[in-house]
Amino acid sequence: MACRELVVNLAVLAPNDTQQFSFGLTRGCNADDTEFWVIDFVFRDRPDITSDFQDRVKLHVQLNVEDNASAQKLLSEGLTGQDISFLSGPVTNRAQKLATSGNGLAADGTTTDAKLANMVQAVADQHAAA
Amino acid sequence: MQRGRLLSCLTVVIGLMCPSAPLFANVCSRPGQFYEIYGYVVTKITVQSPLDTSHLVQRYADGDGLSLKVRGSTPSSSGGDFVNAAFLESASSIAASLNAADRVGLSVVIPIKDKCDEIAKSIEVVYRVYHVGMPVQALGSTEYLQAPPVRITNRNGAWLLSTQPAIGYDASRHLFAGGDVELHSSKKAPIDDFYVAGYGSSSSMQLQAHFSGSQTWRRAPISLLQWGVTYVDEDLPTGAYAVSQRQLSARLAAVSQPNDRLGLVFHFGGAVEGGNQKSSGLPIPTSVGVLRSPLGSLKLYVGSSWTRHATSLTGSYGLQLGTAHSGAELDFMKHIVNGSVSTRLLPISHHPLSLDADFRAGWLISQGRIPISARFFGGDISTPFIAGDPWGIQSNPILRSFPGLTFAPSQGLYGGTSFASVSTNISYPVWVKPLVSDEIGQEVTPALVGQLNTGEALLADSYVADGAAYKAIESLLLTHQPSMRDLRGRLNEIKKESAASRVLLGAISDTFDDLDNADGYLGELNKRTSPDAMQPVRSLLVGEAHLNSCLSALAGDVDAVELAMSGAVQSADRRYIHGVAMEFRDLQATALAQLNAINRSAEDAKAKKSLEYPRHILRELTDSINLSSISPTLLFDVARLGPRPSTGRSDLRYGAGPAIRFGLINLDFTVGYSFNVRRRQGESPGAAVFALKFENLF
Repeated sequence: MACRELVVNLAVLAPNDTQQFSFGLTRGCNADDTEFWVIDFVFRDRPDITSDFQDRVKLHVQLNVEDNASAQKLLSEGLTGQDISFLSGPVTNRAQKLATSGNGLAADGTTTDAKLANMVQAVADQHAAA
Repeated sequence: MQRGRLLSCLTVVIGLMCPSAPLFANVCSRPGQFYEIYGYVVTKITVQSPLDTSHLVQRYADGDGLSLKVRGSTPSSSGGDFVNAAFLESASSIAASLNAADRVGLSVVIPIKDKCDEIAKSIEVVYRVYHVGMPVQALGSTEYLQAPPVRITNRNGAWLLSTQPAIGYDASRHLFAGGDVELHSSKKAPIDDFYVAGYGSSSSMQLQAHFSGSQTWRRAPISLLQWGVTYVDEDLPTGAYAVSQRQLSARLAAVSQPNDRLGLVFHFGGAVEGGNQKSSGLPIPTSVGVLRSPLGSLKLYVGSSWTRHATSLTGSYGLQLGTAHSGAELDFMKHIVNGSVSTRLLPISHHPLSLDADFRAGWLISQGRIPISARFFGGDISTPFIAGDPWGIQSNPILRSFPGLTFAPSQGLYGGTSFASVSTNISYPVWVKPLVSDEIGQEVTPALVGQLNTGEALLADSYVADGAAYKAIESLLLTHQPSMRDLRGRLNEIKKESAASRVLLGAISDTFDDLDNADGYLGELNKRTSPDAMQPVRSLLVGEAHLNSCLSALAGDVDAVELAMSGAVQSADRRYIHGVAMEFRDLQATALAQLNAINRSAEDAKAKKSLEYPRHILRELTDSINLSSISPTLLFDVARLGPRPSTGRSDLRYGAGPAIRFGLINLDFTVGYSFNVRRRQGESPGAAVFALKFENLF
């Protein structure tokens, strides 16, 4: 089945009026007609209802799902704190260094790096093994 | 006249989730990146919102609320290149914008590439938007009045004119018709709401008009204070009597702030009423009541409501001190107790078993003479304790097998001095059309559940990061920042030495890389800039996916430097390097032990509790709520009116019958017939039942 773009947003203000959640899901299509997902999660809270909301947690992740069953499982199970720490720490560091150095730069401007790909895949594999 | 009750739980439905057209009628079938790579130009951008009855989506599209990010283009202009990322970001922006004002909002946006012209390299973009939302003020409260089904509003939403015509028939009032009109202003003014309701027939007349204003507080114990003046003119048949009264009342109602721990909301208020009654019918002994008299009352009430998920409970008590004289003489006291429970169980997805039960009781204590309009008459009409009050206490027994107010005690037709009634509806849908279509539900529900799990994990980490134990680890790590700085300096000196080998230089370079990483993580400590609050500490201490933690990797690098040092390097440097490696290993082991020793069960529980409500919302949206449904319904009422018969005969009366409930999201329309069980001579066989109810979905 051909990939089709879709955006869903669910916003919830908790009954105590001090917690606000926003869940955004975007399904995009790669050039080869495989899917990628963009996950946006924002949690905002405030000490009382007269104060302004402050972001406590804000997450923006893009997942290339393709036909990879482990990535699909990761998408439906969700990321653990450890996963996010790893993705936003070592993985992001490496990606930034690659972008700065220009190593692995492909003709279309994207960057390929085997170690980086393995790091990301390892997160998905951990969910598949669980 | 159950307006307050009917409208109190109204959810405003902005758009409908189930489209009539196929969701993915995508004309341009290639992936978005194709059109970007081949330089297609966007010639037109359109926002479509089928069934956007209130034009909210269009209002966003026209105004500042919607920021379409397609490069070089705005909703009203065109000419920019097609950019796939912007194409999706715009859809995401629309979805988020629409939910901004909602307590619960669900938006689905289908970005569509349309009318692709391969020769002209042009493309049109369509955003098909489906949105359902519940406004912030609508949840679990009964103090706010929302728009009824038909409404007219001006473009900026400053005023709202709503109307709800109605027509009905019963054996007592015959064919009656009327409706209500409400004008509500969103501007803050002492009076911001005007309401008129009128129903008439050949045997009855009801007119109610009121104007009211309100004030809300965020920090005070009271969240809402509402005041109003109400005029009531009624002429209702009760069988042997036509109870006719005209009254003007001034009322005050207050609502407490919700109790966070128990989830209770308290309601209290009162009214001062004055007027007269000119009822007609058979003569009444003066010890029982009077047909014509002045009326005056002081009414006070207190009540509480509790709502959790699909279950709500209410309880109320009202006290009336009344007079049938023109002075302040006390003639009677009336006590009213109300309770209700409403719940939905979900044995099968999208087939909720609904149970609604309403309990009422009251008693009248005579201190002099009682106007007949103050006595209790039952039937299928509810009479509010205080007309126009938003907390809808009802002051008569409900027995839907008796039309109008024709249920009177067996000892006399002039009304009762006490009553009790229980009215129940049980319904189960046999045909449903889910609100969130299967196509969307199957596509996104698993991913949304995964996202909730992610959110819960992040939230728990953020709570842990706020704790003293975690902050102690951050402090411990920061105390070693000077060691890393020294190491960098010393390695720079070693590097400059001419005797440094290529192996040593390579090891030093690797060490610098990991020092850079460590510096970065140390710099993020206490700042909470990462999506995961624990990320810097975890990156420094915890390995992942067969990779060493940053500190372990750094210690390994330093080991490699030591190993690569030749005899040319001074022994003092080697000892220093060895010591640093030991220091980093000890630090990693000590801090990791502290991190693992943190008992995070309270934080995990707190995050789980925080996500409980969004999880419930998602379950309701995907598993329970229907766009439309048809449900067979069982009606069952039991009621009694005192005084108890002297014959010893039971004074309990029953009404039972079938009904059909038509549901449209949270609006339920029930039509049925309640049979008069053990009908007595002169009584009607039953009465038709029409009911309109707005359910509290969440």
